[in-house]
Amino acid sequence: MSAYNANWSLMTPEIVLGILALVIFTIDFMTGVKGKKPFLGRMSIIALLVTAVLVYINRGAGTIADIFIVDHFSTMFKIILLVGVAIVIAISMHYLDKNDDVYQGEFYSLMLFAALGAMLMVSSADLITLYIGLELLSISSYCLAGFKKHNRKSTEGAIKYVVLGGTASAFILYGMSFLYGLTGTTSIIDISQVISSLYVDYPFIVVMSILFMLAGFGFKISIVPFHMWAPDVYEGSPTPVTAFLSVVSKIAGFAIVLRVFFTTFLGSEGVLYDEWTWIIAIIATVTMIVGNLIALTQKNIKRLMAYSGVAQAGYLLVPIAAIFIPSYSIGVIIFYSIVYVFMTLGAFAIITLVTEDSGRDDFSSFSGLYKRSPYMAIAMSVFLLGLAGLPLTAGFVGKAWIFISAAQAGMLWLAGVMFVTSVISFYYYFGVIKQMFMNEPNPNDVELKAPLSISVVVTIALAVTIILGVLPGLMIDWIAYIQW
Amino acid sequence: MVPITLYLSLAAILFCVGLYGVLTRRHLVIVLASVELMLNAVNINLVAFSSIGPYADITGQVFTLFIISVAAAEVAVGLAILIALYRNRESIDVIKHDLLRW
Amino acid sequence: MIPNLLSWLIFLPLAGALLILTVPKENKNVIRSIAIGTSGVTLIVSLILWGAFDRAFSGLQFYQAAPWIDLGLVRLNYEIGIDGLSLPLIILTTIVTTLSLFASLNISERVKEFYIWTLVLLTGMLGVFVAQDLFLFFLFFELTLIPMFFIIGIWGGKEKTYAAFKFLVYTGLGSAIMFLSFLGMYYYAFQATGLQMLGGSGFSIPILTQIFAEPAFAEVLTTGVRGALFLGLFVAFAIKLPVFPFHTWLPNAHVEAPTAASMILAGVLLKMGGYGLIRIGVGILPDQASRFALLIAILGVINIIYGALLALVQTDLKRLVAFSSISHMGIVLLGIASFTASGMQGAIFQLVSHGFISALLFFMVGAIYERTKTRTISELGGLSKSVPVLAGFTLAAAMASVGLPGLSGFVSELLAFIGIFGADASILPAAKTLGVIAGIGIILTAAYLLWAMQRTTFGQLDDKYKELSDARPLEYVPMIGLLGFSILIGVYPNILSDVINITVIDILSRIGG
Repeated sequence: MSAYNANWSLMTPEIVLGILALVIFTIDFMTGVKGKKPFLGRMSIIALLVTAVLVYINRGAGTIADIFIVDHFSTMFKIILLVGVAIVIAISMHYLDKNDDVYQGEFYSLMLFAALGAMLMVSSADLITLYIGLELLSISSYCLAGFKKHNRKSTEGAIKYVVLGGTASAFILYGMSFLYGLTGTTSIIDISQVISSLYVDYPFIVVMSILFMLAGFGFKISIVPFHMWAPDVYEGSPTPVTAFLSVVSKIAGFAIVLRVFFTTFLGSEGVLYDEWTWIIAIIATVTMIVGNLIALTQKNIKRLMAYSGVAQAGYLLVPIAAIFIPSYSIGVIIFYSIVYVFMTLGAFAIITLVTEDSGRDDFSSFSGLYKRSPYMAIAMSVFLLGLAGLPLTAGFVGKAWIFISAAQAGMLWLAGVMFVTSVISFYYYFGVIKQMFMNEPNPNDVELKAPLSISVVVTIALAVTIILGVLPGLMIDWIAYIQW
Repeated sequence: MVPITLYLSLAAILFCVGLYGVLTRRHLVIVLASVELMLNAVNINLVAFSSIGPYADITGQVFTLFIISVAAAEVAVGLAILIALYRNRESIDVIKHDLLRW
Repeated sequence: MIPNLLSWLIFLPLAGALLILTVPKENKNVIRSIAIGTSGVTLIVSLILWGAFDRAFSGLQFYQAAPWIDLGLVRLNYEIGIDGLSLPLIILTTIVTTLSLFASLNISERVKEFYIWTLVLLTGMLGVFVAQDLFLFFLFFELTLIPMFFIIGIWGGKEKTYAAFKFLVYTGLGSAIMFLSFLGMYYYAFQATGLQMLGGSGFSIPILTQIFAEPAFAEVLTTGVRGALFLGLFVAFAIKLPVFPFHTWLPNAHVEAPTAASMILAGVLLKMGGYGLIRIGVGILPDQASRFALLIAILGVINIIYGALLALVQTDLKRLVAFSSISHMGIVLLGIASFTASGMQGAIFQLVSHGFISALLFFMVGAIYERTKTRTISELGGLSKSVPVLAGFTLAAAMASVGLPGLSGFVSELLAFIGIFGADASILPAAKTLGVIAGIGIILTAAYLLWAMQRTTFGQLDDKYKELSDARPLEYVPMIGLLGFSILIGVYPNILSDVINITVIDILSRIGG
């Protein structure tokens, strides 16, 4: 099939988003370099939502010349990612309002390009497309991480991110190069058809390339031992960018791990599966333990969220390691991803609000938040309880589903590790809650007024967290209905 | 004809040298150069496979071109951040960048 | 007959909590009335249940089931129902909570939050006692964690933060082990029956009971598997009950919690452990429960003696009461381990009776502390002269706790001991020896309680306590209420036993089979 007569209309959402990103970029130039530009933020949100609608309209199945694939899986993840980026931009509008020294237009267009990269990644059916999408996302993220260029922590975090991110790309590519060499194709679908026989002939090389790719992707989704960058970059980056990294980058990374491992490396009748499932199980175990234990020692809220994010990545690995039916694991991960996006972004909206108000990002900035803004304190508690996996929040259902899927696959011990580490996580999540409810506010902290954008984000996230906690059927029925 | 294993070995050695450089060098410019070295190891692999591999075809070289251009973009961003860092800290020595720890 | 009565029971408190949310926090009296009104209505609903309960029917009553979450391969159900085991504990919960709300009228700080949390807690506790789906059970079990953390952490004493976190981590770990055992049960039932679970639900207690009782599945559900599952459940509920050596969270939490929360903690939350052990541990895995009877009995005896010995050396009155709870929970274990009808009845009686008595004791300690600002036993004394009513009720509570005939403590201890001395030697060897040792523990109970009473209510009255005010009218409500129920059960135990009896016989019949 030639690329010329392929159905390029499948790529409409990506093309539209690319054009809109360029338009916003251009408008930024036309309106002067500096100054506040909230209208660009609103335009970006609209652009993302328009794209999300286009993704939904375009949701049928199809491929473009085996390099670009549109299916339910990609549609679902794209919508999650686009909504996530839109929420991040809503949070950024408050942040940029408070920080005049940041160039505003570039910030928004970089976010849009990053979103475009994430969309390409999710839809890629070819190693080259995958790499391009990955790098588009990564390079935009590097710029965003170093966006406060007069701030030492920001630039220091950014350079770490660039160096380690580049290394991770090299690992992924090195793994890919062997897959290509042994098959003569870069199409994921073609590789998946021959991988079983390939594995019989060259078991060592195949396993090695899997491991190299796992290491590289592991960096993107920040799993132990490839998590070292996360706390540093999270702490240094502007808070909305931290939110972006912990949600969009991570979920896009998971999408691609699922795509590559569940199409390519499953092999026919799962012959290859036994080679990597136990590795992922061990990585998940270590990730959950290390992430949660180090989080206990943190005093800085952004670093805490970084380690909590590491731990959450570990939870999300559990259904990948414990496969009963692959499509079932995908459903579990999608549900938890949705839940995770809303809980984390809600939490980050409040973190942005509080840390920008006090100018500090240690725990003490949350002292007595209940007295300063009861709504925000309650909402933050709900998000943290959700991340900890306590009842009546969506996080509880999400985690319970992961446990049940692990039990179905017979990996009770993995569910055990996950549960015990979740209990450890109570300690630090409740530590923040304690600050908000049981400590007195700092003397010079007055009543906290939330701007509209933050209030809207928090309210939406709160509604989703609670509604999906009480009536998860709304989402689960829909996910289960889709054929992967 | 030179067997493909020699090319692959060269690439493997380059990759290791690059990784070693990333992990141990203190000068950030050299660290970035080491990252490039790793990417170029991949390029050698791909080109070797695409010309004398078991399933030789053109895709590998296309992939290489993509990697070269994307890597250039990546390094451009890296160097830009490096300059910003230098302005802030008056140093590009890795050891001295220790604000963020644990 | 009102339809869906049980759902009303569970969600009324939650609705009350939401209602309070809309009231401005300055209207403290409005908030208090809504809270007491809500729990009062819940109490009435539970009494209606009590009246409508069919005492001759051994199965689940007021049963309700609806699919809640369909996870493709497994369906989680909203499945609730009560039997003779749940009903007494539901009544206990509503009574103790309502009375504890009266006891908390003196809380003046952050009133709104306090009542919201208490009502959420009430929902959680009632949910645990009516849930017939393991997942739902776990959900409500975890739900009790959050309000209790806040209540201890915000309104607690000096070490409140430490106590709150200790409570959180201990009970959190307990629920971790519990849920793992649930998952294990699900997994093995799933293995045994194949993809199609009986009726489509893998967590339903009645269905799991059937699966685990089915001899045809013995190949998958081997003795080793069952034993491991039972031990997991036992440890999980032992943390909540609490059983030595998992008891260390209890003194901190009870002592630091405000009076009302201590009443609920000792009166109801501990009972969730005992309830779970009987409902799930003994109910689903009766063979394993009888296999480990000796272990349970020994731990029960250790609990009785250890709790009593530690209570003997306490200088703080509230800590003394806390340790007496540990001691009394040993009797529950002992009663269960006997696997006789009277022993099992004794265990359930003890759960209920201890609920009333310990709540009363904690209330009295709280009332005395409020007046004297001290709980140190040596600093008190002669209180019967300055506050005769309070001292009198304290003494009565202590007597009930010791097991004076005519009060509920006597009935439950008597039943448990009849059970243990009549235990089948094939299930529980050396039952009589254990019974005798436990009896010594009961004597110790009398020793520490009477000694403590002698030092606080009698003796020389300190001058600074001469002007203390006696009980306020509203304080009579919890005092008379709790003592009244204790006397009622003590004088007329049939009121409880005719509800419990048929369920106990049903549970015990599973062991024989």
